[in-house]
Amino acid sequence: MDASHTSVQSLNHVSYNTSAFSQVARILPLVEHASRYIGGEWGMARDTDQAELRVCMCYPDVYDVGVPNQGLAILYRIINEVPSVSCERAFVPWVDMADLMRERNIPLYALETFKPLREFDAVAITIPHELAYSNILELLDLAQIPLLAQDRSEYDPLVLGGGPSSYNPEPLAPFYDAICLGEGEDQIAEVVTYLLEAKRKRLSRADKLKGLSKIDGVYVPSLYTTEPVEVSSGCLPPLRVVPADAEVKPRIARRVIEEFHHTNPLSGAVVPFTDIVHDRLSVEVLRGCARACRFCQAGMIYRPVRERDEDQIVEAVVTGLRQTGYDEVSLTSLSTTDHSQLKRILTRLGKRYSNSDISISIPSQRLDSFGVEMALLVAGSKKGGLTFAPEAGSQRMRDVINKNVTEEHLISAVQAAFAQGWLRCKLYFMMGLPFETDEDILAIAQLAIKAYETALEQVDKSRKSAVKIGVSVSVFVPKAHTPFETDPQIDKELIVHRQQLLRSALKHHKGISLATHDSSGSYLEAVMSRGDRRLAPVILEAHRRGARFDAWTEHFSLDTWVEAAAHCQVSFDDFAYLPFDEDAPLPWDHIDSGISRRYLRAERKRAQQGITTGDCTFERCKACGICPSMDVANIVMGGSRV
Amino acid sequence: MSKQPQELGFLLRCRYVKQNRLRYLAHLEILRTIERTIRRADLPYAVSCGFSPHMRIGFSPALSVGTASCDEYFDLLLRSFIPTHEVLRRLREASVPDLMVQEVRYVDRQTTSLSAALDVSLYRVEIDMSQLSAVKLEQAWSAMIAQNQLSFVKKGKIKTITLQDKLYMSPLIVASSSSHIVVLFATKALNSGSLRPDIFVYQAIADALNVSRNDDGSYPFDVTQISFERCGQWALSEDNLLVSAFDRGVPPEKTPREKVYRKRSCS
Repeated sequence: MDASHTSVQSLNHVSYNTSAFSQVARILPLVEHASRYIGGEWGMARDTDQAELRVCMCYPDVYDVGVPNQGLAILYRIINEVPSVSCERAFVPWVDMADLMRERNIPLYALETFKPLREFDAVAITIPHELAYSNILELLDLAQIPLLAQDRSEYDPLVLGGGPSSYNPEPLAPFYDAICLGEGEDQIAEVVTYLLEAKRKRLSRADKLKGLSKIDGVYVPSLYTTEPVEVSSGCLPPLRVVPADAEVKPRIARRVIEEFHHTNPLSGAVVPFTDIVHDRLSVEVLRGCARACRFCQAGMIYRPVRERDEDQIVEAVVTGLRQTGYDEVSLTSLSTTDHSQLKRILTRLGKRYSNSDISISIPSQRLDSFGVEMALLVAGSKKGGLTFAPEAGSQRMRDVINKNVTEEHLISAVQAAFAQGWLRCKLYFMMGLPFETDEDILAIAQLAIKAYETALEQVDKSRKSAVKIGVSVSVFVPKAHTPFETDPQIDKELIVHRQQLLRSALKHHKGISLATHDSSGSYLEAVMSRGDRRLAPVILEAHRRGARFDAWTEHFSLDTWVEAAAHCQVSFDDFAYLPFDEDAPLPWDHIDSGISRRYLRAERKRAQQGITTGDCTFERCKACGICPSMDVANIVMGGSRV
Repeated sequence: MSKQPQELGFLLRCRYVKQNRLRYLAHLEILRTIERTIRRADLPYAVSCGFSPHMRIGFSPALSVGTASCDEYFDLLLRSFIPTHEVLRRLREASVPDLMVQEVRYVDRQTTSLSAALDVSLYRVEIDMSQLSAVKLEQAWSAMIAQNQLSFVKKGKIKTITLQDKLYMSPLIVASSSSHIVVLFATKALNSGSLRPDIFVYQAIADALNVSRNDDGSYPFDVTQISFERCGQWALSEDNLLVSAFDRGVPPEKTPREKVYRKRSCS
């Protein structure tokens, strides 16, 4: 063969339903970013139409936001590994596409085969956060699947859910047939294997749901009923959830992967064509975080801490980059800089990829000079900006939320960063935390000014004008299964007042830019986060009134939601602003996160007293309850953390 | 890719197709996808020097979203020599089915870049419109060519271009039935730009249907009934002959094995 020229005949193999595609192709020239709607990416499951049981995994936002979701990617790969079962994907079409699909009566389809979702055996929709609830209904509606579980027939797919916001699933309970709680790696395989058997046995929908409810960690809302709770005056009276019959387990414990380091570190995510939010390879280096910040739900519901070991991570990065062709890899987790072997991992990767077009990133920096040292290891000559999250301005407030960092930590981190050549830095804070006063808000401004002045001292005269500190202040949203789960959100007037305080305190500092969030989104988040089944009719009504893409400011309208609530005679203010009775049942008491209620209440008491609690991966056990109740333990690969 | 004679390496020219569902990819998405394909193929590609190193790769002129093609090219600089059958095997294993490399050949480093070399594009257009007659369409084009002018709306402004230099081969209706028309025509790229095939066809259809453009520049018929495919790209030689991209690329004079890739001013 001539070594300098080789060619082949064109191969025109098409593995999808071309007539379904041609219908879609008719509208693609009329929409933006057509590549969101065509599938066909590298890593996509092919020949899925051969399977006996067909599942479609969905994310309730647009393709660009859904594809980078690690959880979805992991489950997609695992389901496709189960014999005779296949998994495809769908996302919510952007409004231009959605409107055209409705106009031309094209039902929402899966990207692999263009098969309509309503023809699948099961449709699984992630529950990522509270502002996605309207999009879950938008997705079902576009798929032409009945929105309420009770209206679905034997011919409709089962609608499954899971994800971070399923730790209080109640506002969505009537829309889901079953919700899978906790880490899905083992569970999803059990669920689809069961559904495959059930399909072979031709079980009825009701029998399938009963069978599903027997799988650990699976919650079937229709098998439970609610009853009102007596509370002390001034508190929000919730609906508690109780089994409708004696056969059903009263509490559903979330699933935990005991040996996380034995799972595949590569999610096997598809490599998209279009520009997506996190357009890079992700390798999850550890799961869980035991820093125990009292506002943080992720810090509670992903315990215990389990690290992958150094060799496994380096190998996964090398293999993953080769398999996907990405030029960037991110070492992801809730606190990557806490990994006990991080320095060795970054040094090895840095050596391997120096002088190449491959770059390595870590999602955020621990707030000390070690964090900066790690950032330096991956930055090379590219120094964009660093991100630190002190979360609160005063030491008192940082003790209340158990953010175990001091002003010295922040200042030394800023010193190190600007001395190393960084010129920009972002600081994340929250307002509206329990026990907060106006002084704590002013302390945010003081801390930012001090950080800015420290930064200026570190750089040459000529570059001083380039020094920028960004201050971003979001509004606290109380979350289930955290020490602050019984606390309300602060009211709108107080938020506006405190934002104003901050703005005037930073008015004369040109190098500091302040971003405060519009509080209306946080308000809806708080309502949903603390809500119960009484909110389901409101979500349905908001959907009817056109609510969708609430997480996108250009589409979010609180008025739509407030009108829907009024229509359903539900008081949003009560759900957002009234505290729960600490001693009474809560709407999510049937969901067992593994963290004991006693620990949560004790932590809240310590918050009130300003007493901090250490991290059990650095010091002794703090008795949160997860290890004994789920028979698991922290796994720190390097022996100890630094 | 600019000429840098002091730099060594092996310049590989590759032909690929863009078809079926992937015809809806935008040019930037294709660039990114092919770069990733090359990394997956584990080819010893060269990277640029400097602050933010990137792959040394060049592409043939952009195709618009929705236009398929069976004749697209990219040039890739390799640090070491790999036989073409091996390159092709690796690239094909790393490609998605509808964006597939078909043919590869080494060309001399002095070869003109693809974006400058390929002048002529042949388009095949299928029109599925029951109300359109082939005769009327032919007449519309004849009139347009006789006038030697085409006007269209771009970003709210009316633009007028002359056709003569930019149309290499006039439209030829190769098949027609009551609801289906197939047309071939070829455009020629000039320094001043090239003729957009979609505008050229839409305007002729509007003329044939005797309708005028909407105020926003869009056309008052369903443009999704028209599909475009580029079926060939050529260079134009000095004596006005069509030359394929592979023939345009001068073959390397020495056997490539003797050359050693050296990064200039890096490391």
